[in-house]
Amino acid sequence: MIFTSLEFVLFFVAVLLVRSCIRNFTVEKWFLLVASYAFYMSWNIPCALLIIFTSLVDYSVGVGLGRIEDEQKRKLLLVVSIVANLGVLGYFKYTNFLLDNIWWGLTSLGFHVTPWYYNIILPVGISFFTFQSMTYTIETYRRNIQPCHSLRDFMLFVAFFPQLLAGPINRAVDLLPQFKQRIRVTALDFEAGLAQFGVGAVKKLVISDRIAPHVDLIFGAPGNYDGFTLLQGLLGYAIQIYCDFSGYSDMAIGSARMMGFRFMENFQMPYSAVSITEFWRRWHISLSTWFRDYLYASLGGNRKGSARTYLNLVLTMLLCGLWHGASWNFVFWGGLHGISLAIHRAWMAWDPLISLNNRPGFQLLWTLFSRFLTLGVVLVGWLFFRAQSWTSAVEYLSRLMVWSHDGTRFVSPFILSALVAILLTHLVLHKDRNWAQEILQRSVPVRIMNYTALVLMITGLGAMDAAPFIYFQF
Amino acid sequence: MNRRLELVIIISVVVAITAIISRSITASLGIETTPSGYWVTGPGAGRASVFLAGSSLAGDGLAWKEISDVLNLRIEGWGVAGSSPSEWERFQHLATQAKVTVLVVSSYDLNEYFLSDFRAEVVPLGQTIKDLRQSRADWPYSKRLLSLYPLTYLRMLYPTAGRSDGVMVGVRENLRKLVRAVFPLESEAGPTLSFNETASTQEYKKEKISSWSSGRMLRRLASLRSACQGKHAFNGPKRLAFLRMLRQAQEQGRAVVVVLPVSPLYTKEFLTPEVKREFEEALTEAQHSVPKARWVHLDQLNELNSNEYFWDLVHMNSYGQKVATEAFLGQLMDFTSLQ
Repeated sequence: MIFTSLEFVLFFVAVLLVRSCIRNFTVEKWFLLVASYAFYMSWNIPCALLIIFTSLVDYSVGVGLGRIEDEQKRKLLLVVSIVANLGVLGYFKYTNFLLDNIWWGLTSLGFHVTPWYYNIILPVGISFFTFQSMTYTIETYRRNIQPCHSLRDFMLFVAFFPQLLAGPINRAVDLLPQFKQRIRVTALDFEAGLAQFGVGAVKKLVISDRIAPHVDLIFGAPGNYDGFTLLQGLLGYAIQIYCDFSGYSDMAIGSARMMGFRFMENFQMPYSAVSITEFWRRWHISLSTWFRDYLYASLGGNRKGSARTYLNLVLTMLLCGLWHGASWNFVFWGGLHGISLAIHRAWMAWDPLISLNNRPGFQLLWTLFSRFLTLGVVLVGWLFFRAQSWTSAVEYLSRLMVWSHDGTRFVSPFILSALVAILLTHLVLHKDRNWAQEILQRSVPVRIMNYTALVLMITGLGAMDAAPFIYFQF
Repeated sequence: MNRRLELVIIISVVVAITAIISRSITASLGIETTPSGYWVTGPGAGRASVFLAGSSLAGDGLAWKEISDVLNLRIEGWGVAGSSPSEWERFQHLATQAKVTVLVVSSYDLNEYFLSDFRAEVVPLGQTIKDLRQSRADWPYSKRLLSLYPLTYLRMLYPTAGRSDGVMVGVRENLRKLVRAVFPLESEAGPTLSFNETASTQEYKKEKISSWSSGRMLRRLASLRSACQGKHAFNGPKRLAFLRMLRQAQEQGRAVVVVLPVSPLYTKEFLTPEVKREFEEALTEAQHSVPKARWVHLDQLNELNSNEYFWDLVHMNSYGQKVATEAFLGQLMDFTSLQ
């Protein structure tokens, strides 16, 4: 059941209607919990046991952390939570990757082995709900939140359906308190949620799903196309993944808001960033802040000198890459971003051009250059992120770099239109503004015009067979 | 104003405006919103003795008017865009006077993954559920098929819903008409249903995919791949409907099955040896099911195995139609005796 399906719309309307009829808060929470599990089980029934396992382990650890004062024992409890969560994640996500590398290593050393693999299904959303659940045990360990004493509330926090499959990865400190008091859904909440859901649907159905077949075509056989087509494919993928994932996040945030719940924003016009550091403040914010707060900070962050800071950045991003998928392409993608973050940090510390910063002409040129450079790094990263294999990525990049003329030129009207639309959006809108929030302050006619445009785009231009969201595979 | 009342007003106004605009778009772009159109060709008056069941591929692949004239037969049918046996079956019940049923199929028509835009309006939900259960269809496919039914209700309000391809092609064609005088542009319009006219009446049916630009070819391939999710299968509800139709045709009189070819390009891109084998198996099963049915394998005609004979990846052009019609008539010289 994906957000853009009629099936979800019917499910969601039913949830809203039933919930509005429930007078008892406890019954309401039970109902939301059952609805959330039903939502997940529409994907895979047995995998719901994993969410139950994660919830039970972390709930128990949380209760233990609340009772025990001894720091050694508390640390041990935290380790139990981390090992359990990462163990589950590791088994389902990385076992075959590990085996693949072992077989490769043994073969390289001259051993004759017959590779074998486990038949493991990757449960949808596993990377998201394990990370979300871990925010609870880590924050409880750090004494930033009180342990949750209601198993039902905690299970709802882990499995709450709008965020279950692909985030945003909400912090326990933000979401758990929202299950403690009954929330009255206001007309303002409902309208804000509906507007944000609509924006997400446009991003997904009208842009991402439309350009996806053409992007797939180009990435499917990069050796067949010329430089122009390859650049178009790469830009197309950058738009596709942004519209797909930020569209999903908008729909998740919007559907939660329609029920009165607040989620953290996950994207804020990332392609307008003037540095890779800024890019990560705007792209998949819930994940980047998770890694910043729970991994980078735990490694020492920037408190142990420059060299260690750079190392921590690279290490954090390598693991961030691995989080996305069990493939060396993702590791390279993470490494590229980690090195870029380290270089940017070093540059900011050095900044030999600081004296020129007051000159308006220089500022404009520098901003333009910085945007292009940032975008360049991001695009190269996406190439390795999307390519079917390392060889394919290298072939794609090399043909693109030499601006190959031998090959078919394929002009995709969808990709080019999307490119113009995204470019105009980035030129017209300020990068820190949030349309879905601001629209509520506008007059009724302006809101009607905006919502009419959204509905017309969805009903007139939306793809019919909505493809699953890209981030579901992570 | 009360915020709740304000929201109700906004939603009501937005729904009303968008519904009106959606209807205007379908009307102005000429997007087909009615599922079927009855047609009849041939001598005499009243109901015909031959019922033709086929999609736009049948309309483009064979010159039915010519066939009707040569064989002196009155032929009738119902045209449904992108249709397949599942939809044709509903009209077979209406062709009560037909003594001969001609079923025109291809690996495109029988592919379970290509779904007609009008399926839910033609095939009852109960029949679809029954077929899905009987064919043991998997959940993703069942979901895809069943989700067409709520869409019909949404289309009462928004006729453009789920028809974005039609909207975009319509907009593009209108823009082309505006600039065609200045820039010679190739049309990328989709097929139209035309059973009782000759192919030469429509200019695009003289095109050859062999002269398409590579970009156009790739766009069309991507579009088809997206429409069928890159999959081919011949063991679902369409197969069941096909077998039922054959048996019903046999009860009513005689059944003639025409297997049309698709372009070599389509074959190369989509019909892997495995897919071809599955298609052949489906046809063999149908042959065994109704042994008395007459089979005309135009797909085995070497002459048609050329991209020169197709204006689209699966639709034959007027040149292909000529060859196919001659071959069809040649194989059915005793057709009149079927009556």
